[in-house]
Parts: sequence; structure tokens; C-alpha cells
Amino acid sequence: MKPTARMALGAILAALAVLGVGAATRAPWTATPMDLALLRLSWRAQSETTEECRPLTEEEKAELPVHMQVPEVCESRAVPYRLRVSIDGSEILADTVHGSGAREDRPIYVLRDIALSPGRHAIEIEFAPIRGRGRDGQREDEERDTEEASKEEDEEDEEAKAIPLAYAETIVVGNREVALVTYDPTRRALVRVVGP
Amino acid sequence: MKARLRTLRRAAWRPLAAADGALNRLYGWRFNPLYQSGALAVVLLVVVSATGLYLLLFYRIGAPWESVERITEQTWSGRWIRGLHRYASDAALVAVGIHALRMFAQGRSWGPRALAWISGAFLVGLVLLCGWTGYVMVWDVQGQTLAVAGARMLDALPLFGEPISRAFVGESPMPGQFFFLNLFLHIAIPVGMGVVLWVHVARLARPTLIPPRGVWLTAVLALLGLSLVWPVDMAPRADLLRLPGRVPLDLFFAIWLPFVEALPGWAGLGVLGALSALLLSIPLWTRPRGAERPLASTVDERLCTGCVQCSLDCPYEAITMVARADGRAELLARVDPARCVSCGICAGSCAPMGVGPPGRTGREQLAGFRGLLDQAPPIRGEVVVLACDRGLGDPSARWDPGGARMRPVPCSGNIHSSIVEQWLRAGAAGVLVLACPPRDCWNREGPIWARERLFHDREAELHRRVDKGRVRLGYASRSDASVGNEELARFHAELAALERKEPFADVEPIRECDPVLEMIE
Repeated sequence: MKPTARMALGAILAALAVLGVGAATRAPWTATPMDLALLRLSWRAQSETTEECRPLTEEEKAELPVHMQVPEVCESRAVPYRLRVSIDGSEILADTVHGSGAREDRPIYVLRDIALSPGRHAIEIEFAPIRGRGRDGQREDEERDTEEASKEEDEEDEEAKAIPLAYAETIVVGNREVALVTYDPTRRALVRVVGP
Repeated sequence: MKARLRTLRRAAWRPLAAADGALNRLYGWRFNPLYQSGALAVVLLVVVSATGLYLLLFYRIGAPWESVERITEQTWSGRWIRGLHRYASDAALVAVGIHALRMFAQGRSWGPRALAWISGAFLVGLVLLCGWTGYVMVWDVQGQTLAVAGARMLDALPLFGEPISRAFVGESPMPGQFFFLNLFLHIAIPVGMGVVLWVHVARLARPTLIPPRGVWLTAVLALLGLSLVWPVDMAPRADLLRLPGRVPLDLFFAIWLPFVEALPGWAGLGVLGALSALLLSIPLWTRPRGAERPLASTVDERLCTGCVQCSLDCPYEAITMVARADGRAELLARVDPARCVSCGICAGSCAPMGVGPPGRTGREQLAGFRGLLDQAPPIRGEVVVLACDRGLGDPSARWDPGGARMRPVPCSGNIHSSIVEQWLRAGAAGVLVLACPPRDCWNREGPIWARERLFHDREAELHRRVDKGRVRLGYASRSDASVGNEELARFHAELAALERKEPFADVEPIRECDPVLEMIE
């Protein structure tokens, strides 16, 4: 190959390489199809906690250092919530939401994305505490006393009480629009947030 | 497993070798960018840092998208600087990818090179992370998609009390603290990369961090030209209450995004984790086992004169000079097996032939040569080609040197100059050493030291009594059969032009190698 032809070919190859970089840095990608919208549920609920206490057995006490041999040990847990979502009359989500943290005694966070078709939809959301129910939704009779004691404490502090929340509205969502339903602490209700 | 690894390596090596050969023909081996990929990545990251400093002056964490838009509107400066920042980042990632592929295909990923491999893998991770934060900084639809995908994956880790994804639901505008943290990471990560780069080259003597001027200048000017003629545009502003539609996806930094988007957060994180583990574990599963594992160089203490040449020539700083224990005044070379890659370059550097990997020391090369002479037909007027077995000396390269006698060698830097002399003494018309192109040497500096020893009196130099007109050093990669033919043709022409005289007709027959030969015999 002649040197000039080689130089020309080299220059063309270099140009193609940088053009390749330019093209690959802006490859078109449709992240979301046009006919999709989203119902997004996002809120934080400070649930009331139940505390379950039991005395330490003698064996357990023996395994502990003297200064840690308390008369009883207590385990607190946030009251779980039942989350139900119906769209246009059909229930599409029914879930139990537990408190965060390893011991489930931290606030409850709800974060769900539900795909919708763009248009008008009747949305119903229920978010209610499951009183006296354990993790698997089975009644735990032995917790009743604890629960009652907890209720008495809640009467003293109404703010801390787990309250049921509900949302029932007909909404209109556009293509690729996100309908965000969240908790408004001033109104103490679920509300839809509309963008600017 | 072993066979599968070999197949994998071959699969990686073949296209690379073919591309090397093609670019060698176009640009010559000196300016072949594929050979300079590691150093090119460093230069491009310097360009990214320099352009990033300018962009930093105008970036506002309170209005990220708007400030980047203002930068992009600066026709005379910001527009092309932003483009160069982006394109140089992408090109750096390409260069890093080629560099890693070459190291893997050449089997330079295990043992003493494991530190370089692992630190290199961390560098890749840091480059990707830095690119991630860079895109989020712009806060356009791609930045939004990346931020949300990242948050989803982080939420899969049981580390955070509140899901990070809740920050991106659109309930309120993104706080300035988020962009501050992002900016901090975008600046801190490159600083960390500097430290990791230092570790990356810590085991190399004379690391090459800057490619030839022609290569880096061409690369930077080409990317600058691209940023002028095809500037980076603004994508739509991020809106958390709208799902991103058409997103301009950067295939270098975000090629994983469409796959991860289709998976739950934990699965995306798992896939990325598995890929990272695979990359980091390469030194483990590419390590040759048992007899296949090359042995580290050893030093014959009786022969070591303490000249320090092997220590100077070692490309991996594996040889140090220590005081002797036997009362002799001179120093003694000591090889650190943890650093020695068994390249054999020290064998070529040692005049008394006292150092080298087992089986490849100067003495053993001489013994092999004499054995060969006993078996092979006598040489009269033939050209002998000593070709690197990673280049044209590789039997699978199927290069036919015509009437010349071909002799594969492990590395041109491993050849002791006495061997060249012995071939000529045995009657060869000339010796052509065909080395790999210097920047493609699997042992880093073999061809450089071969040239110095053959023609520039570097120890162990080719003796002055040898007619250097009968010795030639050429560079040809495995795919450069035509270059090998050209070198051979040129050498034949040079030899023909020489006077018809015996190579040693006018010198005293000083048998300097006799003591060594006697030892062998």
C-alpha cells in the first residue's frame, strides 16, 4: 500500500473511531414505553409499637454477667399495616407492611410502584394497622395483655397512635406520568402530590 | 478447566492480534494506539481532570441542570470543553477495556502481576463510579435513570434504615445536599484513582504512563475535533414525576442500565457483584498450576560478579543487590520469587551467565545451542531467525521464513548475545532477531534491552569482534507476517552488500566463552 493511501486510510479509521465514540455516548434508548404511567405510593408511618416482655429463665440469667441479669427482657415491634390498593374496582395489591429494621421496631416505609395505563382511574388505597396480629397475620393471644397496655399508653399520646389511612379518588394520568400518593402530616391523610 | 481457559484466552487474543497487525500496517508499531492503551487511558484521564476543573467553576449544586445548560451555551469554551470531558471519559474507558483484554489474553494477570490486575479492576470500578456521579451531576433524564437505578440497588443492601429510593419519588425537589455529595464524590474519586494508579504500577520498573506524543496528541485532537463538530447536547431535565422516555444512553458507562432496569434491585446488585467478583478472581483462575507454572529466576552465586546489570534491567524490580555472606567484596544479586514473572530478561543481561529462570540462563542457552548443532545439519551461509514465540516464532502464526533457519525464543530480551555470536561462528550468514514490537512485549522491555545489547554495548553486549552488519533486529507482531518477510528481504539485501568475508576472519580467535563452554561440557 502506498504511504499516502495508508495515511488516508489511517485518518479515515481514526475519524470513524472517534465518531463511534460520539455515537455510542448518545445511543437512543427508550427507558419507558409511551403507554405506561405509574401509581407511586410513598410515605413513612410512625407506627405504634407493641412491647412483649418475659422474665429471664434461670439458665439464661446464668449465662449473663451479673450486671446484665435484669428481671425481664422486652422486645418491641411496630404494629404491622395492611396495605390494599384497588384500581377501577379490582384489588391489585394486598400486602402486609412491617416496621423497618432488623427487629421491625423502626418506622414503616411504604414504597410501591404500580403500573397503570394512561387515562382516568378510580384509585382506592387502604392502609390500616393490623392490631393484635403477628408477623404472619395469625392472632397471638398471648400478646393481648401487652396490646391493651399499649393502647392505654396511646390514649395518653394520641399522636403516637397507629391510625388507619385511606385514599379514594379518581385520577387522570398522562403518558409516562407518575401519580404520587403520599402522606400529608398536617392533614394526617393520604394525598396526591402534583408536580410543579 | 485448563483447556477452557486456553480457549478463552485464544478467543480474546485472536481478534486483538489481528487488530494489532492491521493497525501496525496503517500506523506502524510506534504509533499503534492499541499498544498504548494503558498509557493512553492515563493521558485521557488527565484531560478529563483538566476539563473537569473548568466545568467545576460554573457548576451550581443549587441548579445543576440549568448550570450545565449554561455551560453548554458557552459556544467558545464551555460547549467544547464539556464535549471533550465526556468524550475523553468514554475514550479512556475504551482504552482501559483494551488494556485489560490485552493483559488477560497475554496471561499477564496472575502471580506477581495479580496486584496490578486487582488494582486495575478497582480502577475500572472507580472510573465507572466517577462516570455515574458525573451523569447524575447533570441531572437530566439519564442522570435521573442512573440515580434511581443506583438507589434501587443500594436499597437491596440491609444497610439503610430508610429506603434511599424514597429520595427520588418526586415528593419534593432534590435537595442541594444530594448534589453536594455527588459533586464531592465526583472530585474525590479521581483523587483516589491517583492512589490506586500508583499501586497499579508499583511493581513495575520504569512504568510507561505517557504514550508517544504522536499518539496522545492525535487522540486528544481527534476528540477535541469531535467535541467541536458534534457537541454534547442537553438531554431533557430530570423530572421525578415523569418516567423518562427516550434517554441518550452512554454505552460506555451505562450499558448495564437497560438490563438492570428489567431486574429487581437485588438481582441487579447481584449481577454487578458477580461480574466484579469474576473480574477480581481472574488472577486465581488464570494461574498456571503445577509444572505449567514458570519458575522464578535463580542466581548462581559463584558466577555473580555483583555488576548490578540484572537488577537494572529487570522490568519488575524483582532483583535486588545484597551483601554477600561468603566474604567476597562484591554484591550479590537476589531474586524475589514473589515479584519474578520468569521473563528471562536477566539471563540476557548477565555477562557471566549466572542468573535466569531454570532452563533459560545464558549457560543453558549455550548448551541448547550446542545440542542443536549436533542434531541439525551444518549451517553454511544461511540466515538464522531468532523469533519471539509470542510473535512470529509462535508455530500457530504459521510464518514461513523461506530459506532461513527459524528458531523460536521465549523473548528477545532473554537471548544472550553470546548465542548470536555462536550462530555466526557456526557459519550463519547473519542472525535476524525478530522481537515483538516494544510496547507489545509480554515481558515489557525485552526488545528494548535486546537492541541495547546487540547494538549499543549494554551489558551483556554483543562482542565488538562480531560484525554487526550480520545482525539485525526487527519488530513484528504475531500477525505481521508481511513485516517478517520485509525484514528478511532487507536483511538478505544487506548481507549481499557486505563483503564476502568470514565474519571472524580479521579478529583474533579469543575464546571468551570457553570457560562457560567447558563447564557445560
